Amino acid sequence: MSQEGSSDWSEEQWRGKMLLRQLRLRCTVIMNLAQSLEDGGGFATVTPKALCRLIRHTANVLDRSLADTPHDQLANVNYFLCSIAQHLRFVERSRTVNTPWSMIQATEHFLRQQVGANSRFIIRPQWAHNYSLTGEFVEAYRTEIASMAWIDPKAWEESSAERPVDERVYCIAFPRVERLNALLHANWGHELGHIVAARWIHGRFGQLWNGEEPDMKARIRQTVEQGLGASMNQALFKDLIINQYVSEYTDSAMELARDGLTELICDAIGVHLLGPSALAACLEFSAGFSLDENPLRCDRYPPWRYRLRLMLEACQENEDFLEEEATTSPKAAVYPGETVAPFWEWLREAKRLVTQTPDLQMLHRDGMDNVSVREAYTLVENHWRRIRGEALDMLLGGAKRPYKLRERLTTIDDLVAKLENDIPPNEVDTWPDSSPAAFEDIINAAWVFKARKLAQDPEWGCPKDLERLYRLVLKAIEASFVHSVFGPRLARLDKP
Amino acid sequence: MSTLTTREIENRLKGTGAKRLVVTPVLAPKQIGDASVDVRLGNQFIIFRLHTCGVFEPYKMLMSQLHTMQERHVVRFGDSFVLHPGTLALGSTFEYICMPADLEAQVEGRSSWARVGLQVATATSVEPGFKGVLTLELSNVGTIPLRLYPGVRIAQLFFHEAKPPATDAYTGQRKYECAIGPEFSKIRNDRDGSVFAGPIEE
Repeated sequence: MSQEGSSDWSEEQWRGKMLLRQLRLRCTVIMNLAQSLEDGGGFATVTPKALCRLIRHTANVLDRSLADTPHDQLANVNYFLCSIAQHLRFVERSRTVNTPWSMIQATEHFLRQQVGANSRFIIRPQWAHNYSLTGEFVEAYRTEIASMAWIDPKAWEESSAERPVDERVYCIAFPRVERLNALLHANWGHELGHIVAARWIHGRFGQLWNGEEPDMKARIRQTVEQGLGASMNQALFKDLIINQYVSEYTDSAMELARDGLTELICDAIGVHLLGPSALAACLEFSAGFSLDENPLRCDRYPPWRYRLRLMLEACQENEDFLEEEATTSPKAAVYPGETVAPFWEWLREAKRLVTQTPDLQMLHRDGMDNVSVREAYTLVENHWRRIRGEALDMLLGGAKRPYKLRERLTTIDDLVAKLENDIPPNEVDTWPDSSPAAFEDIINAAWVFKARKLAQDPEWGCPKDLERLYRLVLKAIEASFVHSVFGPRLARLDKP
Repeated sequence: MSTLTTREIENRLKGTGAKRLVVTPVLAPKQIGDASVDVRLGNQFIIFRLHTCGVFEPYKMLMSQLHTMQERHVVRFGDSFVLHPGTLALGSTFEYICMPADLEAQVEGRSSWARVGLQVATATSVEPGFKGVLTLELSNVGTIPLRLYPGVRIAQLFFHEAKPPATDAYTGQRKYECAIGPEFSKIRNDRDGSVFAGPIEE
């Protein structure tokens, strides 16, 4: 049966015959799926539909160019089509029944304010108990299309108001089981940070690394030589072996520094945007994990204790947590104040955690097996303040000022009082002088309220109590968003 | 039973303490009428899954069975919900209401909507101490489909003094408490109903 040897048979021809028909069908199915998801609706924002249109448009461009596709490129087209088909699952999962729908519109509005109005966010649940950011999709599709020489990029770029080719589309995932937990969703600040972190890594990390690499390599070499000891003195390929180790550990250190900095920048953005509530969410989330895991054993993530320490330092820099002031500062009478004091005690718990330093001992332990970790975190520590400053500068103008709980005390008092009375904290003050509360204030007030209730009543915190709190916060976020969008429009109607 | 007029309603809304009335948010001053507060339509609806519905058995169905009869539908602010003739949907007010112990309220549909066939509420009383958004039983008794936009003024609340004030007003044991969207019927929780829902054993 085999014709491998015959001149009229080639693998490419075989692939062409087999795959071309499949791809044509696949393009059609993807277009239909995208259309039906778009038509089905049920989304809290227009972004999922925008991604549907982008996917449909991309599949259509690929379909129209299939006849011109070289047979040896069909497998690449197949791979790309499979990828965009998978992205439809983000759309499907973002239906309102699966999300904390009351806060989706407000959250997307908040996120766009930080990184630009041309950024769009799909928010969807995932079964993994974690938060994540995927995308950016538009640029990824553009790059892929540009690599396909037989397609005229203009065919894909053909812009219309319906296709988000001039926008950036991201997908933020949250743990499915935490759907209603609006307080924990303060972690979305961290996820937004991934956009900024990627910009910093792309633009600045190479330069930083190039400056540090020679000295780092020398230190790694020294450690390797010490680690291998006298046994290597007589080895035939001593230099070659040592160079191999140095190269391997240097690469590893680079990856550890890059990925570690990414997470730390994200944490810094979270605290910057959402203040102590970001630390509180991280603190609560971290309780389920070892605080001092070696980055080599956990996907190059920095240890939780290390992350909490830097977040706490950021809160201290914003003067939202200064431990000494409880006894010595004259400001203590004003801040934290009676309402915020239990939350402030929560932050003190974080301080207690990070005062212990097993993470630092682990990160800086000598020895060949840990040299990449040691060097990566030496680099991080030597440059962290500058890196953080550069990353924060990448936020939009209005977002450059940090959220300071200290400056929001009156508002927080007011919002917490509302929660105490089972009223959603969507407004500051009372009618007719009320104004919609800010997203950041609502989240922080919710954390302050939670800490306060837990301090007042050890019995508080059963699922029913928490669910009620979540519902009030979700309602508040929605109501304040609608109020801030539609209130001014209604007010304009009343003007002569 | 006296009905509160504008000034009294405003004083209650501005007030503090036990007599404070909360309607939040009031998006426009015009919502406060001569003797009422206009409330807006929220963006969550419960509709019946007719294709899976058998008979609604209030005292025999499990909660899970009740859930299979209904479908929650959320409409983005700016989008719309179409209510067809002869159908019932549960909606809710956009405003969250907190009633003091000395007030009760009546929910009335707005006549402008009634004239095109929209009935807004049949269970019209809001008890002293109630907290939450109000569930509205929206039914189209007209002959043409109605497009409803979340945020539009849909009903009015008339407030009346309750004398003497309710002493155990909504202390947390009620069926519909701190709701933020429409709530499906909890008639199943009426223990006395089951007394009548079976044959008499002699």
